Amino acid sequence: MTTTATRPRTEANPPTERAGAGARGWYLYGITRSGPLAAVLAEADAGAELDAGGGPLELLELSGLAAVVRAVPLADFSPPVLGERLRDAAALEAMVRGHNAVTAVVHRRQAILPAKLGLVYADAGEVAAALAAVEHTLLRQLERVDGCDEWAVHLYADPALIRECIATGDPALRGLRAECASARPGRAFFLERELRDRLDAAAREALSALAQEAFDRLAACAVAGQANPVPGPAADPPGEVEILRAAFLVARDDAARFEAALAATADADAGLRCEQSGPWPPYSFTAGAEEEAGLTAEGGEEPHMRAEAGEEAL
Amino acid sequence: MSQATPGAQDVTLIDLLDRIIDHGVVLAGDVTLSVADVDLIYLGLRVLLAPVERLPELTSAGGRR
Repeated sequence: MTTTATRPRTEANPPTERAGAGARGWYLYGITRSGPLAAVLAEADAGAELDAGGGPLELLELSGLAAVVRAVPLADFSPPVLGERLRDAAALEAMVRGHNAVTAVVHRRQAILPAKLGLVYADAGEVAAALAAVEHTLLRQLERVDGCDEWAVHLYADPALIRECIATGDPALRGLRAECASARPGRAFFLERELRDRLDAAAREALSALAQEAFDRLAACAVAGQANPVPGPAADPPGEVEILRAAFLVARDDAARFEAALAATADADAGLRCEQSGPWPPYSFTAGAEEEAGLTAEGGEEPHMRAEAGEEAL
Repeated sequence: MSQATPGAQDVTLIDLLDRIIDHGVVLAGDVTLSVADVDLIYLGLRVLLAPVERLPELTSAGGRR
């Protein structure tokens, strides 16, 4: 396999300005074990909508590991060009789906650590060197996700129903409510405010407990679980609040058990609804490798995502 | 087990975006583009999800374990 020449890169000399019109980089899809994957890659390519100028899928192999890559024109991935593409929703969706299509095909055949979207390396040698540097961690991580699928789970609650359950079920609040109904207007105003505040607090607590209980029940059927930030109230479906957004790494042998746990979690009478998607390649379960090996985490957006942590949307 | 999509929005696409943009392995090396240009991606995301106002701001309830 030919590689592009190594060039020093600095802020003053961004790669795209130095690279010739035909310069190519390596778009990384994921990391898997070396093996006879030609047929799998051909299958992935057969279903792929290739960008103009992209080469076929290839493996950059190093001892036991293989990076699944495609040669792409570097110019297509320069920040301004890519920025334009990513502003176009259809192009972003195509890029995301194309990335997943490749990792999913390999995932169905053997364990893969899918890469984050949009990683392009200028030099194949550097991919190999990076693989070598963390070889053992990656192999260990592949072992962990072997035979497993990732499932995405969203749990939604009906806050009105939950408040009503609390208001009628809690003797103190029931009494307070009755007092509100019979109190004179001036006093009723303060009592109603107290009732609302106490209901808010109790509902927050109840939703948090429901989310934790669901997470624990699902995690008990999974190799690993990860609770992700839930988006704010503006993203909630009407009349509902998303109380848990989580990813679970589930052994295929345990899929039925996990499904049963999902069914047990959705409880319409209690105002709980579940949505799930999968099976996914284990995108959410590659972080361990980064942390252990001190790889570039590229997690710059994390603080942004977690900036307003805290309040449960009610 | 199949995905349930009772909502108007394609939950599968949201889940895919969540995964592929926020997660996934990253090898150290000479990354010419990376999702360091996250703002660009989130700009695209907002356009993509704008019709139903999904993920207008990615606020968080913190990780529950």
